[in-house]
Amino acid sequence: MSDGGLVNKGADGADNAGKPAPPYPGDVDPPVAKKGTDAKDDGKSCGTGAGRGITGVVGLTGTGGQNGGTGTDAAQIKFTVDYMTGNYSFATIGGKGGGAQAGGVGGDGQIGGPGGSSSSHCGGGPQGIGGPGGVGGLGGQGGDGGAAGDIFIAYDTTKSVPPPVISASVTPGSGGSSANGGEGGKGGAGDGPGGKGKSGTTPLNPGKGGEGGTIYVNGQPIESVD
Amino acid sequence: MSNNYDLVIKGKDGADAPNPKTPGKNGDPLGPAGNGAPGEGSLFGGCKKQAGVGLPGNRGDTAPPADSGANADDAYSLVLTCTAFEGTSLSILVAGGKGGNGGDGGVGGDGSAGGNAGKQPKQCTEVINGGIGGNSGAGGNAGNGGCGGNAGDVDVVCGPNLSPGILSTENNAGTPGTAGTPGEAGKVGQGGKNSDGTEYLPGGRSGGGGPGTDGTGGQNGNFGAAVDATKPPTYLRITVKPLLIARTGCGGSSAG
Repeated sequence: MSDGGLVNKGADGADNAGKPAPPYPGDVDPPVAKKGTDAKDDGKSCGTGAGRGITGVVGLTGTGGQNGGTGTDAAQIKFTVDYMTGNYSFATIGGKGGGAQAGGVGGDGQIGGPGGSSSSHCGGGPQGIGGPGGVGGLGGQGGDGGAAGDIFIAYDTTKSVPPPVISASVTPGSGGSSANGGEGGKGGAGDGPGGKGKSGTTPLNPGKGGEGGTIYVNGQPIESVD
Repeated sequence: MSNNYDLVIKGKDGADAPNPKTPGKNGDPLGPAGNGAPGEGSLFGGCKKQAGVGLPGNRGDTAPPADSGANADDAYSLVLTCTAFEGTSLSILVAGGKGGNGGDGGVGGDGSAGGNAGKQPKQCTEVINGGIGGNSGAGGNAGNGGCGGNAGDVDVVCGPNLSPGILSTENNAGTPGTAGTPGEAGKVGQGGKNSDGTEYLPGGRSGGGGPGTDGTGGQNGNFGAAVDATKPPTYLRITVKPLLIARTGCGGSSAG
């Protein structure tokens, strides 16, 4: 056998770890809350004072990061011969799970509404309080790795002298790394600005590793990888 | 990698999507028609007519979505039969093609500026607002990645005097194409000038484009090798069979 040996390899999952976070989710529509009620005079004095602008609403939630792609499984190898001597190598390799993308930033809180207009005898109203920033987007989940395939090798031990030197490996694909949640959005401006939004949730675990495989020589399992 | 093999049986790669990153159209400028009419003072010292407000700016357009990458082809099928193979080694690559990458979304169009408030005469003291700026256009959606091609099932049969150990094979599933990057929103239009010279509110920011979907990887094929004592001494047959696994959820068209 030549140096390359026999290799079965699953495809690696799409890797999104290097991608920039998703773009800004946009402002609340409209970006400014409604105006407060206008003042009204009562004859030559102020009757009803101008109202405070409406409090802004919370910003939009950031866009979630893309998950990593799932690695595909490696298929099995079956090698059945009578005469087998010399050096042989076999490998099945599950595809690696892809890394995930970080979550996007949350949207800015809505700007507090303008205060109501003044009248001849009343002052204008104060601006509304700004809305809190939006929650950051969820961090993406790392992709799961693909399974390794089994390897079955069979040869006639009476004919194969000296016996072969077999190098065989079954390697499951590793799970991809999960990514952080996005940063919370900025609070909206106002007479008392809104607070910053909470960060997006980060997945607790990376992607799962693929399932292992077993190497059989003449029907006997000589190595098993979980 | 494929240059190192004696025999390459590989599906065609899916084409990457064209990537012009086409932007959205900018909102049309208002021009002088967007400005408010001037106010009028009374000959007797009062304000006869307040100035008009400025018109809101025009919104930028959403950028068009990007194209998807093409799906790769599977490894093609092959039956190679030698009644008498001569040689000490034979290396084979069986592989699905790589899925094409999706295109990037373009930037959204810019909003245009709001119109200015009309000029107030000194008799009119109320502050008249300019127009709010136009909202920015949303970014274009990212294109989907194409799916990787499937490898094939490889079956090797040797005659009694030929060991399958002469073979070196690599059976690789095709890797998927990745989705493109969503486009960013355009710039917001500035607010028009209020009658006191200050600037009114800018337009709102739109969101970026939506994410695309990554392609999925191809499937890997089995490898089997055996000796058949009924065949001629140095007989060799190599068969590559397609996996015939339907691909679902793949965004692109076939590599063709």
